[in-house]
Amino acid sequence: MRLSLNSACATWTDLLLGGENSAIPWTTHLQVRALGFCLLSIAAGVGAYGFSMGLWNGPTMAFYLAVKLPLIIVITLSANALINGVLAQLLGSRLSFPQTWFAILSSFTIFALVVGALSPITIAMALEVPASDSEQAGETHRRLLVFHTLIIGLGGFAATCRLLGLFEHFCPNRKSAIRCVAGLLAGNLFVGAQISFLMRPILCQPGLPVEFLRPDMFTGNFYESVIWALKHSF
Amino acid sequence: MDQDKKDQPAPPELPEKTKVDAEVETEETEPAIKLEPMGNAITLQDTIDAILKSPGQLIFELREGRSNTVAKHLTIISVVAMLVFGFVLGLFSGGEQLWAAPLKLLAGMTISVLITLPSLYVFSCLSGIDMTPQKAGGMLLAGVALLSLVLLAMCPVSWIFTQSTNSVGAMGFFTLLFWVVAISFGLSRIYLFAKISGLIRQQYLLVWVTIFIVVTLQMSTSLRPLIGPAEGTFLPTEKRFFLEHWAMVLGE
Repeated sequence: MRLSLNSACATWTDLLLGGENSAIPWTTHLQVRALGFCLLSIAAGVGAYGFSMGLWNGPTMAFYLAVKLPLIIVITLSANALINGVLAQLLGSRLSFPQTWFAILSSFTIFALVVGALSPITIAMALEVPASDSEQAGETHRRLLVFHTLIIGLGGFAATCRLLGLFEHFCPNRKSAIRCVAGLLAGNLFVGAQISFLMRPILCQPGLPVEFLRPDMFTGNFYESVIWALKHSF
Repeated sequence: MDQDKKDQPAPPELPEKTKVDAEVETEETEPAIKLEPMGNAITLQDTIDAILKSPGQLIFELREGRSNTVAKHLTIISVVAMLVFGFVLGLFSGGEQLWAAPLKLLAGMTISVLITLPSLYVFSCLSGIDMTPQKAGGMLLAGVALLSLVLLAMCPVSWIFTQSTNSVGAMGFFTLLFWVVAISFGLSRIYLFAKISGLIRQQYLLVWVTIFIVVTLQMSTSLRPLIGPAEGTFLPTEKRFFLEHWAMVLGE
């Protein structure tokens, strides 16, 4: 596969504009080339963003997150492939299982482009805020959490809007497209939260060791932790 | 109640709006931008004129004309204007700040442009504009050139303040005010470019505008002090958030 930067830029532009010449034909007739393009874009965009997230904890964590964040997306997509295919057909889309998987992959590519484009800013931010071993580390950690949540929310919003546009093309009406996207989003959020929990630490708390995966990664789950946090908050 | 209504005089009849009035009103609210070439040979003066008076010519040349020449001129204008404005700021404290402030101002703007350019490209596409990284670069450069020209135009006023006050807080306030005015012009030019290029959903561009403002303000903090006497080191050793920094400067 030969891919120049100019043609990649043209394809990214088309994807961001709505995918008339990229996401829609790719989903209609699945192509290995397009699959490679989307995976590479996710690896580059989300990888760069992961690097910037981890940089606050040092270069080791930056490299860990550059690998882990794209992995979280790919694992979530794979783990949800079956249920997404079923949900999409039940809720009114005319897409097959692989087509649904590819439509979601293209929306994750949009997410990767948004967060990847913001990564130069988040890299500068990681270098500019008080370090993770400084006195203000706790406060900085909380601020960074809020900031990264906003960025991920923004990327997610843009990706969901484009996924809705894509499903509107393949569904008989807007109502079923909204139903499909809502169902797929709920499934991805449900599984994605747990995958992220397993792959922690993401934004390593000050004082905790920097490591690729926690030794107790299979102890507990995301939802137990949320319930525990709620119980101990009130 | 009904009696009161009857007693009230009838409202005067308004003249019907003529076709000519309607056209004038439309022209006033939405001036037409002519997209046309700048002329045979583009000089630096032509580019300055286009930035200030004929944005349509600038847009035309950046999009489908001699974009390299125009981009080179825009860069020269921005660099010179930033250096001059920085020098005037440096006059407030004198000494090392005479060369440090212009360099820091130029470095801050260059870094801001470089790190926000990828997001301008992506957010413009999300806004419905058929954008390329080159076009996004041209759009941003045009905005920064106008911003820099406005700052350059405010140099005499800024100089008067540098000579008439010793308060870092007051000088900080005025500099922030000049910055707000200049950045408003620069960003409105970027918005105009976007609108002409086919802007459909402006919320993404508004997010980018917010990001750009925050980045430039953070740069003024990361490269401090721009106003006030130089500290022991060229760059600060303590890292700080811009809101905290500006609150401290304005409180001085």
